Amino acid sequence: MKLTIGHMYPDLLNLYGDRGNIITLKKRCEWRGIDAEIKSITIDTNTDFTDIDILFLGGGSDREQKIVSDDLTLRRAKNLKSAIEDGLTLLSICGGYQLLGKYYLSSDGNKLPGIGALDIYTIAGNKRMIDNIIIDASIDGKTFKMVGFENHSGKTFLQNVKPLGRVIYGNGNNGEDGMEGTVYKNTFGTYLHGPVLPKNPEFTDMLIKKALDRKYGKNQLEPLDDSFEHLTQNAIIKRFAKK
Amino acid sequence: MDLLGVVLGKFVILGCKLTGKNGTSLPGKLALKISPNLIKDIVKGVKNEKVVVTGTNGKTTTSGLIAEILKSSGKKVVHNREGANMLSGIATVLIKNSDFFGNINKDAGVFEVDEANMPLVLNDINPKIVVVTNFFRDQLDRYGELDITIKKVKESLNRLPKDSMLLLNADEPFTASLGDDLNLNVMYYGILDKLNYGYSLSPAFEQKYCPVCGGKYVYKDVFYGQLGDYYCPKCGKSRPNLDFGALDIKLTEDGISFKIKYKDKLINIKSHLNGAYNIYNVMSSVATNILLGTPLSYIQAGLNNYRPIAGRLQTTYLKGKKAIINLIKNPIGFDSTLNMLREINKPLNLLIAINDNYADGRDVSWLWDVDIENFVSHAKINHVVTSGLRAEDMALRLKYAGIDPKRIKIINSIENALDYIPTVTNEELIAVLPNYTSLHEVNSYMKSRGVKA
Repeated sequence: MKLTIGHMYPDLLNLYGDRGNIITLKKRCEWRGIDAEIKSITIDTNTDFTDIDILFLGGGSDREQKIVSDDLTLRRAKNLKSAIEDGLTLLSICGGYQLLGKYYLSSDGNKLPGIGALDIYTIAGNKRMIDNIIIDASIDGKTFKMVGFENHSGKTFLQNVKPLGRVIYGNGNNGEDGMEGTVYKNTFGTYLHGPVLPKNPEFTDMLIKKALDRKYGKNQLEPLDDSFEHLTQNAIIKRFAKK
Repeated sequence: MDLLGVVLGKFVILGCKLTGKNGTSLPGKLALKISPNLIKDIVKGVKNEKVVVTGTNGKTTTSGLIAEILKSSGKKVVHNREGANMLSGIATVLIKNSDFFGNINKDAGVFEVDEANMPLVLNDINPKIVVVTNFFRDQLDRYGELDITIKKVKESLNRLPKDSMLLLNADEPFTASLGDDLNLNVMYYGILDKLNYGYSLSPAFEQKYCPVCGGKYVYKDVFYGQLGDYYCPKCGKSRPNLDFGALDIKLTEDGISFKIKYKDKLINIKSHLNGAYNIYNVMSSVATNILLGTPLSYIQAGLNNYRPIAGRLQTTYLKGKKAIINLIKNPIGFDSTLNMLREINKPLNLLIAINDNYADGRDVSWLWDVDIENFVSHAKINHVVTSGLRAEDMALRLKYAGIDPKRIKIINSIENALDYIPTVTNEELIAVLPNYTSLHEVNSYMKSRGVKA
């Protein structure tokens, strides 16, 4: 078995250790004897996403986000939207998450279009939300805790689409409605950096399973020894989720 | 001068001494509250040139070298050697070095200044020379992103008098671009040799896109990180011409040696500091002193006299086992340290201590921007201890980098980790790699155990 992991704009969107997410997807496949190939997709790469099993889209600094935004909305919106509708497994974080939505309303009142694949919109905030974050995630009827670190000023609001989870500690989508992230088909949006995948193995394995299911009709995964993963997650929960 | 702050600061310094605290910031912080112009008022009394060093990495070493050379030439120098480089730390060192009336009897001042504090303090110090080492991603959640920091530094430079000199690292594109359209006397230093050790471009690699036209930079040579000889094929912007260029570089176990090309002269330079990145620190400190008119014989003497401060490539012993301590505070610093350990080519036991206090930056995701995979595949690592508030995160990072989890032990208490590591050490060299506040804990452990460098 083999999965192809598409890494969008690795040379531009490389903030906050998000490459750790790619390392983690690859390792957790390989530890189970599943081949994992990483494909970089950047400004000059042509793809219609049909050769990709898991797609990753991160966030970047303002300047780089602008370059990405142009490439994504002007060149790739149609292909990417149809791949998402077709059930592509996609993880988007922070700036990438915002770009999948309908628009971003900047502080000077400009409406910057996203690709409109997710029924969400984002409004520039005047306070940067920077903190550890803990959520109760709920996906396909399964619930589990996730931890990460958020760093954003954009406030994202969901319309006809489900959140990834509820905030236990931190801000989440907008610091107002207690929701964090979005799930639509097999596409996930979140503000969790950290990076998110190493310390949330349930979530990572769920992404791998979805991709295997779509490609091979297989949705069982060999269990791994996740003691370090859980120690890392629990250390954060113990420190910050005081009840 | 408003003397109240000086007097208060003096008493707080005394209080810190009596209670055994290392007061490198608190006295200045309190003094500035009642005398906000204190830095400007005291610094005016420094007789000759003032130098400010800023940038992400290499500030402490570079400013330390500059100060040491000036001292070797017989000057009395005020310098924030302890690395307290925020407003409060600079105020503290000035109070310490002045009398109760705020008079300071010094010939020169060398100040390491935190990048984000540059706009607050640069015009108060009013330096003759500003040295900028490099810009890397550092403690993100405190400063916001790099672009904003650089913009602020540039704005503060713009307000300096026209005869001020700016000495920039030409090999680092962000730093070099500070000199564009700036109405100061700008000079550049960089490496003329090829210096490619086959290290891949660091994943933390920052600037690849030309600030003028957005084109993608092409590198003729990469020295480390984003430092190298680059140009933009689209608009033709390239590394600036070097006023000071290093060539004939030799790296040995005893340190580094090279020549500096300045005008039509070749100057031989030697330093006992290890690690390729120290070429930049040594070169910029020499260049600064040449510009200040320090005679060459004193320059080499100063380099010889320089001793790194605690935790910067410091060699020591833990229960009789040789250990090297080096601060790691951001991806590029961590990468360079791992490369340096690789060059030593000995079996290693590692103790990596990561805290996430405010001064460290509370986000530890940068650990994943370090190319630990490359290090693990080349180095011989026996035991690893991870420690600090984020010991678990570090252990997890090492597991995914390919270290067998059975070799990794998590001991959150840094004291206990330092007690433990020599007990599993035979022939290995111990490498203690703490981030910022973890280093304070390592230093107090050393002090309390009477361990000397």
